[in-house]
Amino acid sequence: MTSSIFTKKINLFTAVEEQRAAATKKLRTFSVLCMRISMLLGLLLMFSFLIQIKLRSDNAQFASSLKSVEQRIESQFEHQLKMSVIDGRLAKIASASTSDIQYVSLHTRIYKLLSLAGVSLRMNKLTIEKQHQFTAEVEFLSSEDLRTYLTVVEGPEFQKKIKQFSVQDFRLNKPDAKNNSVTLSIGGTIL
Amino acid sequence: MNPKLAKFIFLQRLYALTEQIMYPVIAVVLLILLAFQLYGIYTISLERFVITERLDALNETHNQITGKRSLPIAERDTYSAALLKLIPLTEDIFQITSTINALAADTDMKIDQFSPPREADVKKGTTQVSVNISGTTTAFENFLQKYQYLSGRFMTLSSVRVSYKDGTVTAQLTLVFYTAPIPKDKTELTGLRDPQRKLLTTIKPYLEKLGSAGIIDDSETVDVDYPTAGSF
Repeated sequence: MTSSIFTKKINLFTAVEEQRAAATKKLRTFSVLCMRISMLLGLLLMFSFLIQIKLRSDNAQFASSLKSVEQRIESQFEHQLKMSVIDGRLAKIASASTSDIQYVSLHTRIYKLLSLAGVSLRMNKLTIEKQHQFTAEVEFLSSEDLRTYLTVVEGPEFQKKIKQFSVQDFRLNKPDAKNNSVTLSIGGTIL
Repeated sequence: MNPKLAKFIFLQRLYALTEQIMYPVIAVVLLILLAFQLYGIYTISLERFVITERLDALNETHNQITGKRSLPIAERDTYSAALLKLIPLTEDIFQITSTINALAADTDMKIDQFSPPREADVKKGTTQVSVNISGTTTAFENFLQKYQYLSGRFMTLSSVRVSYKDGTVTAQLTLVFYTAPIPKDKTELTGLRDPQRKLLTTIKPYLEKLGSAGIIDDSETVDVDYPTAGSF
């Protein structure tokens, strides 16, 4: 009886011990697997550290070259900005100069036209406006001079010249009673 | 059970359990560390990508800018200073007034009538000013030679009405003054183009004269500590 109970206990103990051993084995297998994974992860971690260090140093290098390029661009931009200021203003001068009344040269041209007849005359007034429209008031010292002048005006040389001027207005003013002079108004466009 | 034996068994089991659990715990910790590390690598790579892109863009800009024709630095500074005087960024009505006064005084012409322009007269970078002047024929010729560049401001004549009488001249002039902005970004940068280069060689002497003549020093201070007639 006693031996039977003892055997039963031994069997139970063996069964429990077997179960425990199987569980321990499973746990040990899992533990070994985790150890291997840990080793692999450790290795990966080490590599990732190295990669991070390399990337950081590369980035620092890039950042410093970025800074130097930025500085170069800044100084170059300032230079080119000044060049563009020069260019832009010169372009503005060029375009504005086309609409400028070149008074001296226009005055000379008109005076030459009027002097073709070779008579004494005086240009009393000259108005030049945009599009080179002009009005000139010319004083002839005597009506004789005016007559000569008008004769020449009809001539071919004057007619050839006058084409450059496109004269639209040719008006004789009242003779001046005091000094015998006469005034002629001439107006048109200088081509 | 013997308490000592029970303690021994407990410690042995604890040791065994610790031994079994240690590696999974280490693996989990390492996994977390690796995740952090990978995130760090990702952000650094992203940063690098941004830097590289910016660097490429800057290099392109640099190539765009440096490809343009230019002048030596000394000439550039002289001409830009002179041209900024001739055509400033914004209109200064007081400057127009002083320019006309100085030009008339410099050429011995007398100003008969002049109304300084109002704010409304300043339109699209131009300001029209009417002025009546008188003087001798020689003084007027001198005026006509100097008005464009040597007056300190670039100006053009849009209409001229001149009367000659006994060697004197009376003229009604409409003068136009100009302003221009400066380029705001790199797309507006032009460099010095050929037509402008030609014009520059023509007006070089005037610009050199203007560029070297008294650039106003901003550091100069005006002394306001002068005696006054009395308190108000």
